[in-house]
Parts: sequence; structure tokens; C-alpha cells
Amino acid sequence: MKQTFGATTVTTPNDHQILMERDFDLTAAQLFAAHTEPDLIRRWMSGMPGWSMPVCEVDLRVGGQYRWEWAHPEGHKMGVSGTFKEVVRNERIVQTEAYDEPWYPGGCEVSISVSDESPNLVMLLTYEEPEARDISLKTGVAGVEDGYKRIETLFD
Amino acid sequence: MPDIDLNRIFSALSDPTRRAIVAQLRNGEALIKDLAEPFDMSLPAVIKHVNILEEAGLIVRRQEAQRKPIRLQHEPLKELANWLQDYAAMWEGRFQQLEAIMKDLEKDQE
Repeated sequence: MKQTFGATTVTTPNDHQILMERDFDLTAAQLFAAHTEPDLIRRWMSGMPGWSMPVCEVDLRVGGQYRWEWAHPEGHKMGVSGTFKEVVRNERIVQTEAYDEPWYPGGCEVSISVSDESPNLVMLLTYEEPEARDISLKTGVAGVEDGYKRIETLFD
Repeated sequence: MPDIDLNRIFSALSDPTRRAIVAQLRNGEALIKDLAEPFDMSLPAVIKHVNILEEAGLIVRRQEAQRKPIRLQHEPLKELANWLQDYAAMWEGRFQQLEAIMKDLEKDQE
């Protein structure tokens, strides 16, 4: 399956993966910085309106960890950590992803490749379990609709 | 309409033969033997693929005299396309923000 929205194309190459591609009016170096420098990550990954990202720590080296935390004024919290498996400056990072309160089974590996050539950004999410891939697709949508709270209702 | 089992649909569509069968059915109803024609595989093998698509709710078989024409069910495919489109829309929103932030920084540095 393949869908495009604006400049973003999403495909599901197999039942474990989600592949996203997009072209930007930015260099590979700028895209790499946006995905690896905490001050920048915070500004575009802070989530839904009302949410902030009080913790964004990145130890950018193979074996290094990252830690992101989101918070809502009403007290909701969400955290994710992972380890960098591959770091090639201005080219590629591969990181694992583990949420504090896992909302999908198994692990996930995120590979982000940036390039000055089209497609400028290729993001490949590989889930251990096909079910996890599908939950991730659904909750991504829930995130758009009602914020992260909706994630919980999927398990009712 | 029964609940759409995304997991089942995705896994049914993860196979290239089954995707080709679905593509062929976009042109309208077909019989098993028509569906089997483009493939270098036995009829039972094709029937197995058709059964998986049927279990996922992607196709239905109609009883018509001695024949059982197979027809595509559009609803599950539409549903799936909607999920994917919303997912793409969410990321497109983030990416637009990313682009705007980096452009602002660029200007500041000039």
C-alpha cells in the first residue's frame, strides 16, 4: 500500500515495516541536525498542542542513548528511550525505540537516512511484530485526532 | 459491515501474488481460472491465495449456477488507505514544521 499526503509518501513494504519518504528544501546536514540536536528536535517533535518536551537528551554515538519525555499541563506524561546502533554524520542514524509504557508489542528500530539528493529523507520503521506495526499506524492517526490520550483507548 | 482487521489485511497484502490478484480484480469480477492465468503456479496454489484474501475480507465469492465469480470488496481497502493517509498527514505536519524551523535558522544566520 502507498499513500501520499503533501510531500510525504508512506508505504508498507512488508508486514513489519513502514517506509516514509519526503523531499525538503534543506540540505542533508540541516536534516541531520533536525533529527539529532535536542534544541531542534524539541521544536518539531513536541507533539500535540498543549504538550511540551521537558526532556530531550541525545548522546549521539554508537551505543549512546537518547531520552525524550513529553508532558501535558494536566499531568499526562510520556517517555521514550533508545540506543543508537549506527551514526554516520549527515547521512544516517539507526536507533531503537522503547516507550516507558509500551503500547505495542516487541521492539522497533528506526532508520533515518538523509541526502542532498531526492528523496532527501527516508525513514524506515521496522517492528519486531507485524501487530505492532499496525498499532503504530493506527495510533499515529489517533495522535492527529485527539492527542496522545487516545492511545490508551485502543486497548479497551 | 464487520470490523476491519487491519493486521489481517496488511498480512494478506504483503504477498506479491495476492497484490496482483487484487489488482486484477480492480477490473471487475473474475473466475479462479482467469485469476490463475498470469501466474506460473498450480490452481490449488492460487486458490490458497484467494482463500487468504477472502479471510481478510478483501474479496467475496458469489454463487452463480456452476460458477463462483470472485469480486473485490472495496471497503477494507478504502479503510486501509485512510489509515495510511492520516499517518502520512501526521508526519507531513511534523515535516512542514521541521522545514520551517530550519529555514528560520538559516535566515537568522545570514
